[in-house]
This record gives sequence, C-alpha cells and structure tokens, in this order.
Amino acid sequence: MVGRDVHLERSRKEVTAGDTVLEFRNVCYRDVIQNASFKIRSGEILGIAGIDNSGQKELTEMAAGILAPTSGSIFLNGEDVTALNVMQHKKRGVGFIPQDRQHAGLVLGMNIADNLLIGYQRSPEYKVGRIFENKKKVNQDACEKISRYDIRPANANALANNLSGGNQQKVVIARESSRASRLIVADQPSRGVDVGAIELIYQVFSKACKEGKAVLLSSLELDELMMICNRIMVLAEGRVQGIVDGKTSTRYEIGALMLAGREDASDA
Amino acid sequence: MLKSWFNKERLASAMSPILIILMSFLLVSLMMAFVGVNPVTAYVSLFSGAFGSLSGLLNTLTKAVPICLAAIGVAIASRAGIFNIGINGQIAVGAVGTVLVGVYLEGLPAIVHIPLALLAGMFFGVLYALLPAIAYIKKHINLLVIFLLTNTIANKFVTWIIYTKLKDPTLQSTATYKIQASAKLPNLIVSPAKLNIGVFIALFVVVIVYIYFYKTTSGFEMRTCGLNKTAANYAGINTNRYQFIALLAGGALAGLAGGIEVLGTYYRLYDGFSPAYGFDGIPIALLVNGNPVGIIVGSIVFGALRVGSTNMQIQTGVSSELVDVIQGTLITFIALEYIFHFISGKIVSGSFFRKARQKRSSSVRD
Repeated sequence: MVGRDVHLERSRKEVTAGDTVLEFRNVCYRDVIQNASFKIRSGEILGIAGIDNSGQKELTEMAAGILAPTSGSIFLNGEDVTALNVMQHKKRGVGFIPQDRQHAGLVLGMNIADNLLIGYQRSPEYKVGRIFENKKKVNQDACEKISRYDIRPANANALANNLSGGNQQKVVIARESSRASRLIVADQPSRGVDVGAIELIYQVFSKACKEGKAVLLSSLELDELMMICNRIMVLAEGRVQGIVDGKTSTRYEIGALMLAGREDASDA
Repeated sequence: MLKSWFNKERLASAMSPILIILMSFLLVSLMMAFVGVNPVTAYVSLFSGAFGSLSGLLNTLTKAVPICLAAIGVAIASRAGIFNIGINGQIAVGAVGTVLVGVYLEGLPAIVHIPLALLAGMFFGVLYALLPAIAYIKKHINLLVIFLLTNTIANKFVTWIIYTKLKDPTLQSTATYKIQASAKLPNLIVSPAKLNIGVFIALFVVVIVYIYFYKTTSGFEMRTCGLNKTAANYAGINTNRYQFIALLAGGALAGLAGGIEVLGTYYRLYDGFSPAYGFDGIPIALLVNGNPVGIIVGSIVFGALRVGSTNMQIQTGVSSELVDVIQGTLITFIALEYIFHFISGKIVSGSFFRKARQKRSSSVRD
C-alpha cells in the first residue's frame, strides 16, 4: 500500500524508573476534568484511553499549556508550570500535536517551511537581530526536516493545503517532536492518516523514549495504546479511573475501567 | 531564480485580480451602453483625463497617496484576519488633529511643524480606532457594525467641530482657518499641477510595511494569526494583541492620510473633503491580497478613476459617480473571488478550454 514494508510492531523499551518529567496534582478543568493526578517518567510512553470526549483533549491541552487548569498544579521536571503559557511550555521543551491538525496544528494557507516554524519563530536561531526573521535558516531547517521525516512532496514551498492528511500530520510531528526536548504530548496523532505516517509516528515516539524524553499519548485505538505504551491511563467522564500496565493489561480490563464511571458499569 | 518566482501559482493569483477588474469594467460598459453612451469613448476620456496630460498624471498621483495609505491600513488588518472598514471615519478625525496643530501652533520651523501636525493626525486616527478595537477584542462586538457607526459619527463630528469651533468666517464654504505656512507640505512640482512630498511618505510607508510583513518575525506571527487564528493560538501567538495592533495601525495610517490631504492639498479642512478614500482602500487591499506592490498599482488606478471621472463627465456626460459604480461592482466580484481564482487557475494550467473533454473522458473512466 505504501510501496515498502511497514513495521508497526515496536519493541517496548522497559522503563527503569526514570525521573518524573510531568506531574499532575489534583488537576481540575471546569467540569470536564476532575482531580486528575498522575506522573510520567522519562523514557516512558503514557497512554490515555477512554471513550471519545472523556476529557482527553482538555487533559493534553493542559499538559501543553494551552489551557490553564481551574485548580490543581502541573509540574514539569519539578518546576511548577501551572500558570505558564504555550510559549513558555515550548521553551521548556514541551511539544504538542493537537487533535485537529487542519485547524489547530497547521496554517493551510502557508507553505511547509513556514508551518515547520510556527510556534518556534521566536527562538534566537530563526532570528537575525531582534526583529528580523532568518529566512535562510528557516528554509535550511525545513529541507532537513522534510528529508528526515519523509514529507512529500519534498518541496518547502508547497502549501500545506495541498498535502495529504498523512503528510500534513508529518509536518506537525516534525515541527513538535524535533524541538521537544522533554515531553511530547499527542492527542490522537494517528487518526485519519495513512499507515506509512502511522509507522513514522510510532518510530518518532519510540526514538524519543530512547533519548529519555516522555510521551503523553491520547488515542481512541486500544490496540495502538496496548502496542506502544508502557502504561495506560484510563479516563472516564473526566476522572482517572486507573493506570494499568501497557503490556500485561487486557482489553477487557481497560474496557471495564472505561465504563467504570457509568452507572450501568456493573452490567458491562 | 526568475523561473521559480514566475510559477503557475503566482500567475494564477495575479490573474485573478486582473480578471476581476476586466469583468467589472465590462459590466459597467454594459450599463453605459444601456443608457446610450459609447463605453469606449467614455473609458478613453476617463483614462486620458487621468494619464493623458502631465497635470492629469500629477493629480492622479496626488489622489493616489491617501488611497494608498488607506489601502495599507485595510491590508494590515486583513493580514491579521480582520476586515477594517473604519478607515474613512479615521481619515476625517485624523485630519481634525492635523488641522488643529497646523492652524493653532505658531512660530515653529517647518521641519518640526510638519511632522508634529502629521503625528497629531495619526494620534487622532489611533484614538478614533481605539473604541472599536477595544469593543472588538474585549467584547467581541461585530467590527463591521461598529465601524459603520463610527464612520457616520466621524463625519458628523467633523462638520460640527468646523461649524462651532474652527470655521473661518471669511469663507462661504464650511472650512477651517488656513494652516500656518510652516505646516504646508513642500511641493516637488508646482506647475502644471502640484505634487507634494506626500508621495514619498506613502512610498516610505509601503516599504516599511513590506519589510514588516515579509522580513520580520512579528510580521510572520501576524500573518499566522490572519490565516488561522486557532493555530496561532495553539502556537502561543497572542492573536488578540496582533488584531488590536492592526486596527490601531489602520487608524494611524488613516490619520496620516487625512493629515497629508490637509497639509498638502487643501491647506485647510473642508467639510466632506474626503471622497471616501477609506472605501477606495478596501477593494485595492482585497484585490491584491495585501501585496505592497499591488497596493501601489491599485491606488494609482483608483486615483486615476477619481481624477479621470471629472473629464469623462465633461466630455461624454457620464456622471462621475460612475466611479462608485465601478467600485461597487469590484467589491461584488471580489466577494465572488473564489470563482475567479478557480477560473484563472484553470486558464493558467490550460485546462479551462479542455474542460468539456475532460469531463467526458472522466465519465468514461468511471
């Protein structure tokens, strides 16, 4: 289908209790998230499982600094980042792959080079002096990312609008993961993309883990989570129902937790 | 280098405004033919009035200056993703600021007086843009509505302030006192028509805006904000601040346009001095999609329409208000721009005339 062999199976790297990268302490967001507390250690992929609209979007957006929690605190490597904004999160090495790539992730009317820059345009390497943009560096950087992440067409001037869904997602992945030095937060990154791009996404995540970064991955695909995550956190109606081991847990176990918040859970 | 610049996408995007202009001229020709005027003679007299003589050309350039500044104001706003139609009112209020400094500050050397008067105009323009900008950013009040309201208020305010406070009693018409000699903009050419240094001011602004849009990080952020506000917010760009700044910058440029009109052309503030320059800016900025070179060309064309229409009225009897009709049709066609962009893309790629055949073959393939 993609003209080559695709290897989706990834060998899960065993986590040897790395440092805590991200910690949520009793985080609430309006009436969507209630008292979420969890930790992600470096070198670990923490999956978020749950029925759609269980609060995954809000949880990941809080982790990336886009939403501010209504109460509770968030710590990044021990530093309280609860009140920091997106830019400050990005500076601290948090990359975010939003759920809606066409509206939140990309500017479709811009070319690939510009889309690979958005959010990082303020970092000194892309500037000349205080106000000017370093176009040469931006293009050079774009070409390097296009070949590293296999974005097609391999033309930095192509409009994002003209790319396939998979390649659009690759642009977002390339932009965020290449700059995320501590944590990658991804909300349903494999939704609606081709299998070649999915393979690349898994590769990026497992490579990030090997480099000691942490990954927070929300997905609606249980199989995906069970395949690549070290631990899986199950959300139901905005509450953390439990955190299970990614390797040993069963679909039944996770499914039961997903429904735990419901009144008819006993029947399930 | 040239080849990569001159690609099909660029050609298609350049062709679409040309198609729009041609279509609106065609439609207006039909109207002229309908009322029994030969459209060719009308257009010939229109453009010979604007470009046919040196004085016509100079007048065209003078008229193009405020139009150009207004167009840039609209273009900045549209870059930031908002539609600024309040320029017209801000021009009038800005002119009041300039005339106050120009008339009542005495004894200053020209080198201080002129910039001070223009800055006062910009300040008044910004001040008048402040209320709509705050209302839009803080309370999400519809910009179109509030700008339409403030435009009307501005015109009435100018009439009121001239009548009650600033009117020169020796004049028949409603106008203020004449500005001090030290506040007059120097002329580059005096005969056969005047051309003041406002042309250079406008060009300078175009260059600054070009550099800002295409070379700076902040310009990149503003462009991101205009193309996709959601994505800009997700990237941590303060979109509200950029939209706010864009509205205030529009006010400043409008005030500058009004100030140049006062200091360079009339030397006093006449009631209703601006024949809707602010509204001329809108189709230009939208037609050329904020491209600075396009704005210069567009404002010269619109200046020509304003100057040549008088000539056309004298020679062919077609009312000079026809220019407003041309503008109206232009805006209507701009609203349909997607269709023109589609067609010009087809023409450039050469598939426009093969369409029928393509359709047939694709249905066969299915």
